[in-house]
Amino acid sequence: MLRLENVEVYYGVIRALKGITLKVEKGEIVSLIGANGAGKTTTLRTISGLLTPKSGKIYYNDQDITYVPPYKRVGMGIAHSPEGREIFTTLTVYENLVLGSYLRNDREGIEKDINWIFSLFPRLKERLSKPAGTLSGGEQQMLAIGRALMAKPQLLMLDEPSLGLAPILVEELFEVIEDINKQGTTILLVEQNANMALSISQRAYVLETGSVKMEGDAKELQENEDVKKAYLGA
Amino acid sequence: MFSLPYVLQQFINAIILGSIYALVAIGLSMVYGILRLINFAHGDILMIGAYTGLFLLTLYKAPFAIVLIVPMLVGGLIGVIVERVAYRPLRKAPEVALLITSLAVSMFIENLAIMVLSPRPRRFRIPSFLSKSHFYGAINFRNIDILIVILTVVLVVVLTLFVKKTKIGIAMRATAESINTSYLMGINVNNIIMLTFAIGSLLAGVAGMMFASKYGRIEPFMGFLPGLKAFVASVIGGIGSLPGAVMGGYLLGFAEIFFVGFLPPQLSGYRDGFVFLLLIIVLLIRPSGIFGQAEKREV
Amino acid sequence: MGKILTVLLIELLILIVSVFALKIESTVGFLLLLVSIVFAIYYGAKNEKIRYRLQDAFSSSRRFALILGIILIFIFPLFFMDSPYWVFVITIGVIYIILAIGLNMMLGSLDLVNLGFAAFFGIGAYTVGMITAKYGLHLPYLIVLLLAGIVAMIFGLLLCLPTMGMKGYYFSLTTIAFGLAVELTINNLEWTGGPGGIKNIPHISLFGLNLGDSYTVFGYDLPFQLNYFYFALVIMLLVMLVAWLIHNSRIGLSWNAIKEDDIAARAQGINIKVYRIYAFAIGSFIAGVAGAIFAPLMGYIAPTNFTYAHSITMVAMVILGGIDNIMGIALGAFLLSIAPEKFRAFSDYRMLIYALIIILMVIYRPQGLIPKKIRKYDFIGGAKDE
Repeated sequence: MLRLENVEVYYGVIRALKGITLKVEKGEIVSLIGANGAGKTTTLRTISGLLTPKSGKIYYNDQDITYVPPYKRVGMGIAHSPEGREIFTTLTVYENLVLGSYLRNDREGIEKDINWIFSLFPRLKERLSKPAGTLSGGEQQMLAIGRALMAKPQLLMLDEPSLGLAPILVEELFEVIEDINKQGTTILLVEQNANMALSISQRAYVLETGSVKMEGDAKELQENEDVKKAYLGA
Repeated sequence: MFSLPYVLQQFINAIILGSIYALVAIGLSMVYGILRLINFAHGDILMIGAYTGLFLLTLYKAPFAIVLIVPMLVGGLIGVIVERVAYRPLRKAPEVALLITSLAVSMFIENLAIMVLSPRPRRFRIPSFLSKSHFYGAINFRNIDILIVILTVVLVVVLTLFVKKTKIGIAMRATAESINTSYLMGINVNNIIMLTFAIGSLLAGVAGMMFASKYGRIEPFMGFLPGLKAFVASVIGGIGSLPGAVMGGYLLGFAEIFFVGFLPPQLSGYRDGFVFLLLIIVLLIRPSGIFGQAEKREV
Repeated sequence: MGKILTVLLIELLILIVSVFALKIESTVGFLLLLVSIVFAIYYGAKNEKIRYRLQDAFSSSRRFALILGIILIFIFPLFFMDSPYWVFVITIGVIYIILAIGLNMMLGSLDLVNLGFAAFFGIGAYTVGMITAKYGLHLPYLIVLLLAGIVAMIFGLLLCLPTMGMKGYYFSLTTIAFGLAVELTINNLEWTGGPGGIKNIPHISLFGLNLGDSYTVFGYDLPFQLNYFYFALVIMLLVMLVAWLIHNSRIGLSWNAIKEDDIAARAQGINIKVYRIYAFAIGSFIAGVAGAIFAPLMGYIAPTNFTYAHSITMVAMVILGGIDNIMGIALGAFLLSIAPEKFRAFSDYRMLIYALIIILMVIYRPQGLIPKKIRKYDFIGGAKDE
């Protein structure tokens, strides 16, 4: 479904991605794990088009999208819930969700999906017409995920969805992510909480300073001694 | 000292002037909200609107409804062209580059106008049914004044509804908050920016018509001071905020009229100087304006 | 020896071309010359070999290049002895170089786009006009010059303090307001002569010489404008020297640090306020000095000499030449003050052309004609430009 071939990305003169090659198959949950600054967020931003690679190619459903502008990628089915939530704080919860469905024109479908989001995250419903900036951290996180889902994506990219959430909420959240996946959405997940991420993923990539250091079956990586030591806090 | 009718008359004058300032300030403020750019050429679009109106009136004897609408469209079009040609290539450039370009675009339009239209001021005569005056004792106002105020209110209400209720309006507010996140929603940010320029310039175009109708005289530099004052108005109201720009426009209108109307006449030569003084005071006391919040967006 | 010869030939070539450019009467001829100069520079800069040889020649015989350059500048106006008007124009060009360097203290060094800079120029000129013409005080000229600088500096500080926290548009628009307020005031005040300005400003007399007199040297009658040219040139060289020293001092370094990232600069312990005050004080002082040369040269000054359009012109000069590079700024200022004279037929479109130049420069060559040099450090010698 998604393929990155030797993607190199620069911030000014700094090479942030040093030739990343990875793929995501339809229906999978794939995790990117690694330390801060390893290039996980940069990878996601490159896939959604906020950053343009200096070299390398990105294919989505076998189509070269390396130079497709970001807003068109949303229309192709790629949704990105960015790091640090990045919800529109001055807009209401409802308006945030509406923007998630910006490119859709099926009014009824949108209403249905909003209700579906509310069933996933009942707390959002109570806050419907409140400015999103007044939500708690956990609620903002839910809103960001809900907003990405409103695009009805084929590929959903989540950047640190558990950041700053209480442990009980994290469990809930990962259940929801698995749920969404079961309903047919492919997921590319970036997580600090590597243990949690690996436990719901089929495959994973370990990034280190802008390159893929390891890749493979999520369960196997979870058992790998190096990974355990470096990322699972064992 | 000052009679009641005199005060009332000043009050009316202030509302008329404030309406024009409000319309100009909206566009300036909205563009700033999205691009963090003060469009120096905004005032010049007001001038273009006024000249378009003049030619429609004198050369084509067009009906006044058309004289109102066409300058809006021309203004909007010029705004879009300016954005496309001068500002879009600089989307990722430092703020100073944008500032200087914006300044140069304004110079360019003004001097082009001098070349094409001659620097000579021209009389701007509105149809007689609009210049008809109403007298109530010592108070008087003309039909055009009523039109200015009503049109402003209508435009502000329509624009507010558009920005509040429609999907594109929501997208405009979203883009003002974060361009990158807006991209992730599938919003074509360039189109939204273009639309913002179009709407703002449209209002400037019609404001130009109002300005010309009110003062009866137009010249290529006529947009410079209203543009500067619109900035003051936007800052008073909190730059980037639509209701703020409207309130700022009216407040500035009142401040200016009452300053001129109630201070000794020998100081009235400093009318514009007073506005600048106000700018500095506002920036000193409340840089984020009366309605604004401190800026917080990532750039 | 070959290097010195290269420097000599290049500088002589520049002199000859400049003289020729100003002497040419036909507009078409001038345009052709201009185009070929641009092409020559373009290809020279593109060809690695030529560029390297020139850089090598100039950097290894720096002192010689500098001294020769100064000598040639002193010779330059002697080619125009037949037309005092050109000497006058060139002198105005020198005054604008001084102004542009002063403006760069804010614009280039701190990214503060001051759109009211002509006000300081005007304040300097009016100070001289008031002292010498209106009140007829017979102070030594150098004292008057100093006073003009100081008065302009006081106004500079007056503008600096309320705008202390401002950046970007807020700053620029406030400076527009300041410039207009000054213009408005001198236009309305009877004390300053109102719109009529100040007439009959006496010529500068310096060390017993009256710059308004025509002196005869080796049997040649020299036009009095030449005296002003040399005086302005000396001041310009002094200002350049000061600007260069500041640029390479702690102050210049701090300015650039603040421009790059004011928060980081503050974290480094740089007191931003103090450095802003320096920029305003020095910049406006220099503008005041330029005004003090301008007023007696003209003999008559009015508010129309110091308008918003003049302020914009100064900004255009810095942008065209190259922000924060003294040679670039000098080139930009000189070109833009000479060009309108060359393009008499187009002089109505002057501001239009300036506007186009600025837009094109910002979009296609934001670093200016001569880009800013990168600071290099050797640990013994401190900061150096290469």
